[in-house]
Amino acid sequence: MGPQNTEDFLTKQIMIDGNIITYRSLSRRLSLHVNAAKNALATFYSKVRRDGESKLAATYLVSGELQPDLQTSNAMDVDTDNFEENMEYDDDGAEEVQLVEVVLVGEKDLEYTKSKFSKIYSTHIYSLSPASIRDMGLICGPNETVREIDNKKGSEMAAIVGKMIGNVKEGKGKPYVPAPPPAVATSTISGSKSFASASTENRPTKKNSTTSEKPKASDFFAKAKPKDAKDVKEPTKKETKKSSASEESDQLKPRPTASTSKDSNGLEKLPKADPKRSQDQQIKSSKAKGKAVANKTGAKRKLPNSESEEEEAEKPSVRVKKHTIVSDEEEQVTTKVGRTKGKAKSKQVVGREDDDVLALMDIDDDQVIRASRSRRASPEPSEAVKSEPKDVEMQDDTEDKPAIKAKQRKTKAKKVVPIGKNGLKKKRVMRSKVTTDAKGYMVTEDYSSYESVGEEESEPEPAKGTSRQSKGASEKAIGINKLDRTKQSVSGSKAKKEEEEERQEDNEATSTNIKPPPKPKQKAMNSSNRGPGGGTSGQKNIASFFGKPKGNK
Amino acid sequence: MNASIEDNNALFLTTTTTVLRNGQFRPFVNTQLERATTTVTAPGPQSSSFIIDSKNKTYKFQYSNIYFLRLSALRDFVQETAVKRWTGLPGKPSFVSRVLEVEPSKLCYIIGTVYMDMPLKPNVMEDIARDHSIPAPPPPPYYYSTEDQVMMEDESGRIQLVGERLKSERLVTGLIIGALGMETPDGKFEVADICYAGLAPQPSTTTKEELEDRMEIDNSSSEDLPTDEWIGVVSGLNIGAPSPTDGQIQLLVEYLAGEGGGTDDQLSASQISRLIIAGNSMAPMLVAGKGDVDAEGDKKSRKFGYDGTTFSSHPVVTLSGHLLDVGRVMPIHILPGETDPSGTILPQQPFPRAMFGPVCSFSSFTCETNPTYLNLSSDSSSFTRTLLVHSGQSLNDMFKYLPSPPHTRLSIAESTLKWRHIAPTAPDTLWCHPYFTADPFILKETPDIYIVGGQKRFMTKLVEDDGKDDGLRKRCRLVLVPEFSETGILVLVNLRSLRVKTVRFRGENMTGSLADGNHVDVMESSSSEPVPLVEPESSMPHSSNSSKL
Repeated sequence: MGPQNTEDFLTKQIMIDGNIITYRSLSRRLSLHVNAAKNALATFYSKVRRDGESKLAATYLVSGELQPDLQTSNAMDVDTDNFEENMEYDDDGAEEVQLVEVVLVGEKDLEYTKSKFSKIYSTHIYSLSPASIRDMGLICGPNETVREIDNKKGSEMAAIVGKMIGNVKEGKGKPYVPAPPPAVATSTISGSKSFASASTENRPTKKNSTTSEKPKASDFFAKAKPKDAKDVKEPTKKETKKSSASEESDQLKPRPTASTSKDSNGLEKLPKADPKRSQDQQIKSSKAKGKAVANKTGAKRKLPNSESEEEEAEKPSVRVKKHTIVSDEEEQVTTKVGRTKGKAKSKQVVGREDDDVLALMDIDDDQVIRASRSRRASPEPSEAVKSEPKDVEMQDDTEDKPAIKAKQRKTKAKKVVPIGKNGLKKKRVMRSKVTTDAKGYMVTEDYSSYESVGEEESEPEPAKGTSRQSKGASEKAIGINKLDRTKQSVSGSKAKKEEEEERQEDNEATSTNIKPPPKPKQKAMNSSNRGPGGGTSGQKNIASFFGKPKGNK
Repeated sequence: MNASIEDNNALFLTTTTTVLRNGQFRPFVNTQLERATTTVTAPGPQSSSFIIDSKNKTYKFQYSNIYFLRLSALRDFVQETAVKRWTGLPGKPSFVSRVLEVEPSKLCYIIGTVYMDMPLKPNVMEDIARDHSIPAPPPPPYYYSTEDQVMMEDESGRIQLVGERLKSERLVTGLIIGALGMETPDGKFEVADICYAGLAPQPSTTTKEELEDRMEIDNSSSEDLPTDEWIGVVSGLNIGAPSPTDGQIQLLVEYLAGEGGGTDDQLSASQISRLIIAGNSMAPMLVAGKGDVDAEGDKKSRKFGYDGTTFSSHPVVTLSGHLLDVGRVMPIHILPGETDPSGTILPQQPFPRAMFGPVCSFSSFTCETNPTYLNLSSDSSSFTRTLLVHSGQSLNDMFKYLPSPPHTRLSIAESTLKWRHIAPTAPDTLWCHPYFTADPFILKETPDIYIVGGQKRFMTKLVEDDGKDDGLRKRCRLVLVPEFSETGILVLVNLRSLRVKTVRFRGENMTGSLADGNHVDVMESSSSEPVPLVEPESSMPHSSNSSKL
């Protein structure tokens, strides 16, 4: 940056554009030290003056100490305008202190101003302008540019212009940027990836060994993500998600017979190393359910959050057992793996799923309702089957979007009889059961839930415990489901909103249909652990959800 | 780069002489100065916090608690002083613990809370009884009159204090004082002498050596060292006022950043380690027409945001810009003040940081309560200073009780240190939080620096107590910071030597400058003597005598 450049710049800015250029704006614009900028202004000004150009006014900044008599009278400002009464004031011992004057003055008054100073520290050109500055506010004009450049270049510019930075720290985080919702935080690419793996690899194998599935998934990750760290991480994440997903589904869908779903919850957890933990979970889930039933309208928005929190809390404990014990549920579980899709990183996600998610995100609440209604209007099983293929994604999505889940519940609340994805109608049942909780209290609880009624109508009226006996029928239903799913995993790639929404409905149905069978099995397995009364042990646990608070009192 | 600057300078030197005859113009060198730094340390155990936390955020308590707390906290100190001062007197005055138990015609002393019964003082009963169809008269600029009565009260009751002695004393409501005298036949208490609690002990005066050190430091001859840390204090920027002073504020910002002026100025600026903004950063909002809008039921349309016709966010935006400029180079402490958009009752709670935009991402930018304690420790040498800063409401309120002259703001501020209470008139005429368990305005210890913002003029004094009573030497730098918008004054305090200097920013012969009117005067009188920059406070009494007699 030579002097010629500076000159050109100043000529253009002042003479042509008619701007006010202060030493600060010059220093920022040309990346000069402020003192160099002051010098440059002076140089330019003197040069222009020498050339006889009159269309340039300089404003000076004079600093120094005033002459003592002036200084005193300045300091003697008083609270009243009666100077005479000065004498009557208390001798308050006010000290006279050094006063440094910093005066901005036009060229015309410069000499006069200077004459008032006893000692001048410095005089420099503050700004050059096409006309003399009569209003002090005008010097703030160039501030815009200065701030803009300061903001942009920050500390780098501060060093150039000679700012003296004290011990100031600028925080990294912007405090006023709202934090992203927690659900997004947990969602990763791995979720959708794992989902993809689940849908492609698990589907064909149906519900066979859970052990085989895990390695595959990790293989998949290894393929998809070369990073080692991810390799280690992802599978576990996926697992946790799976497990939590299944639980979530239990909690979220009050329609499946509460007792059975709860049973499954309870029993599944029993083998775990940490029984306390499982109990906690049960309490949580029961709470969630309670909420869902009790305040159908009120807590809708709240619920999903609380559940997602629960999920996170539960994750570590639930993991293992899913794959070892619950063979039937595994499928369900795996399908839900992808429920939390990385919205941000969705570029890497299989495109179709991505679209699904995005589409779902766009769905209005109203739309959701409408869609479910249309679904209700055409409850043919065939359609249900047709829509089934996307069932898996549906589950993901439902879990992804708590708001939608809430909506679903709302439709239930309206007593619309939902129809399972396999075309089976669901029935609302009121039940009551008496259980003994962990502390030995008898607890009677009434609850209502939905149960699917088989096509064959062979399902007996779901009295307590009957669902367990109706294992055969429901198993059959599951078989259908699974077949459908395999089909879907191969074919299903179209993503249409409506279908998805329908699938939400279907989802519920599937989950309800699928669930009953595992329960008896588990029971059989667990009852040995629990000894006599294994059938009620699950309920015991449930009861403890409600019994707990009492006990706490 | 450097070479080119050299060239510039050479050119400059050769050419400027024609322009500037005096030749005082020197080219500036590119200085890269290091700014002095100080660190905020944890407040001492005696420094009250003025944060009203959620568990204390209740208004259900009666204000009487404050008076009880104050009396019980300060009674012992007052008694201590009283004993020292009066026990040797010939009349052998005795201490009467309850004001109602004074015996007629017997010299004794009593301790209690002062209550000033002033006809001009705002009275809530009058407010209630007032006819609301008539607009209320403007609040009186002062409360004192010749009909004032001084009362002293404690738990037992109230007794009127009379006597010539009272006239020369600075008394405001809420003080805890000791009064020596005797009861008159008509049931009043004739006061012969009055004593206060005196300066509170100072936290760091512990060892003899340190005392010596202090002596040396406090010696007025001790010069400022280049290594000294200073703090800058400014009050009353009044951004958004009808007559803006943006220009001066701009100069202030540039000075603080170390950009303006010459090498001397930049050196001086580099010693300023932090800036304290003692209130009144924004001018009071004019809410003209707001009531009309509400009356028209337009509330719905203004559900979100604000009504652009009656409200402008410009002051906050402007202030934020300046704060960011300064905040980039030094830590800032900003206190709310009387005119700021903050609560009215003391202690005023900190501004929400986020309202200042980008500067709030600086951890060195702190929003403080008003009042607030600040403990600053030097980074170059090992001393810590306790600062007590407030925005001046309490002093301004006390000023209404006392005729001026003879009282000055400085003398009143000094008295608050001796009273050991910075806001005695709260809650009588100064709004304050109904504290229930503690009165945070009591000075448990004397701060090293006591800064009062929002004043009419700059004043400072080193308040000293040689410690002949308790052997502890105490001193406090008292600084009254004037409104920047009216004076353009930045106050600098040397943390080590406690010396003070001021920098005044103004424009000569320019509009939008506080020196505007000044200049006209100067031109008229053609004398070089500037006229006082402060507008006379119209609300202030000219003199009690002239107005009353």
